[in-house]
Amino acid sequence: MASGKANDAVFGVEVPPTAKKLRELFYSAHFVHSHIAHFYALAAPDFVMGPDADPAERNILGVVGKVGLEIGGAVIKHRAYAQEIQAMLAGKATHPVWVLPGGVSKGMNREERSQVEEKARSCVEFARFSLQLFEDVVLKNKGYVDVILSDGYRLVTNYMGLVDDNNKVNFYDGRVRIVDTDGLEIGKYSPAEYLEYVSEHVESWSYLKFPYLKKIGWTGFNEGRGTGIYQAAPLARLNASDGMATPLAQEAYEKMYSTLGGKPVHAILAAHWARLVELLYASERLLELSRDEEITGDHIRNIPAGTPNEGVGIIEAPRGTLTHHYKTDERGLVTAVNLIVGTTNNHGPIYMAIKKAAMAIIKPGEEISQGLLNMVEMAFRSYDPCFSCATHTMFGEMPLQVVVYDAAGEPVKNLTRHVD
Amino acid sequence: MKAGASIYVIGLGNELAGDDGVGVAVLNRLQEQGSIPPGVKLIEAGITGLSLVELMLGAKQVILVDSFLDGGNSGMVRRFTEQELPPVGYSAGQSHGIGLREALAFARGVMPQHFPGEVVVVGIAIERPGRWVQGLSPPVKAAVEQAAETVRAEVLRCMKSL
Repeated sequence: MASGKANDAVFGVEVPPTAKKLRELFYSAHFVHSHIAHFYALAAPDFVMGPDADPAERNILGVVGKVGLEIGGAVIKHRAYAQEIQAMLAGKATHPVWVLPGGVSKGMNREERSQVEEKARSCVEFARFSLQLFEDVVLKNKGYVDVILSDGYRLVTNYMGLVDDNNKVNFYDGRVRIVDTDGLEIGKYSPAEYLEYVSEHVESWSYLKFPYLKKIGWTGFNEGRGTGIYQAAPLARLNASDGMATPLAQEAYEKMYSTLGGKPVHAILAAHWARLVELLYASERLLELSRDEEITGDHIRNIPAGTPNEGVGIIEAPRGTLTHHYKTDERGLVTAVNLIVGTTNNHGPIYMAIKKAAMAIIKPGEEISQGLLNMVEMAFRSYDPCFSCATHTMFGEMPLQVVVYDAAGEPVKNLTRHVD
Repeated sequence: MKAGASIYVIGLGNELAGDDGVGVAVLNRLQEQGSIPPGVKLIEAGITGLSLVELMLGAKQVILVDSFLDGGNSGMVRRFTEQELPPVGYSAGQSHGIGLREALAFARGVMPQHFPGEVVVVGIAIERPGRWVQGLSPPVKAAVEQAAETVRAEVLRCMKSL
């Protein structure tokens, strides 16, 4: 989708309103199945089974065994609904060829719209159920709330997310808003302006870059006021916005912030709650769009007429703000590409969060149990990172070097794979 | 319902990664030949884990066609049972990384009547995936016909057992 929007800009073509709505509908369905998978398969096991539960049980099968097999069926059903909506529109849910410069290749008829409406209604109810489950299992357990709000899982940074004209969260379109560590707006940019706001720091020990706020500058891996580090993922999106554009999600947003003490929330595990607020928003938006008369219109594409040149497309991926920047020659052949993928934005924060959690959880002299290691992993998991996306590595041969140091800082083991 | 309606053949791989795309090439060959009984679903997919398993919703038998790494025997065709697939785990850290066996266990656990009791894999050995290259190496290309025949035989076996 980001690539499609970058291509709109490369070819200088305006997308008709019907095509924009179709794209947003398709994209809302993508958020629905992605967020359901993360919550039930990755977040819920830590809370439903407990962070120190036996790993053989701390998984999605254990979760449904405890909360009810029918919930597992509902997970599959609603993920399937979302993917069926995508396949109906674009031929297939994953790797579709449907978004074209200036619009989309296929529209939607009234019968298809009715099918989407029925599935979307069910998704809204399932999202509400998921929020209730979170409340019952997590929020009513003081121990879990204490863990979520503990200092080891707190990271104070700036935040970023795409917003509409009313500063409400938007996954498909709008401007990127940046707020500081106190939640105050410090920048807002259109896709074409991203290089004025974001730059990418390089470290010799990683081939994934570390984006930072250009106007503040690279301040190292430091949190707190004045840091150039920002986060971009579900919690960051909510922190960077003034609310949600659909009524039920707005209620859930208000409840989250009133419970957690106002904006911004720096508790990284609250990302799981934010993800469910977004699941409700995506489901409601799916329903709204399915009821929009204009979405079955015939005008689904404007054929590009200009000479291709350069363009930037930005959307919100489930894992953070996704930027595609292309330059082409006059024939439209690509001459330069830059991608800042959702996970890439969070690269620095992920390292910082893991280190902070490890230092808070692992005490000198104490045995490092499997449960403690999992609690460190929970810091990582809250971002739902995808490093294959972020590093643009596709072919299973990621060069990797792991150096293990002893307590005195001396290297004791050096493991390498695919390092020439 | 047609005879093979509950049998799905799913071709896996990335056609931009050279020999990794052999699963899709076998699927294309089966479609060209038209020799698979009517009703059997032929599905192209470049996905894993939960998303892959959800494609199997409604199937009684599934045959996956995919490459596997075996540097010395490029082009060898081998049938794998589900139990021979390596476990990946549930907690890969992110939602793109849940293993096939684990996703299948979950799906069967919660909706046993809607997911296949048996999944087999027809694997084609490759030396390594290509990098931004289309087309297959000669030994892997030569194995497409044999792999297609293996899939056909597997489909017939599945139909008899249904």
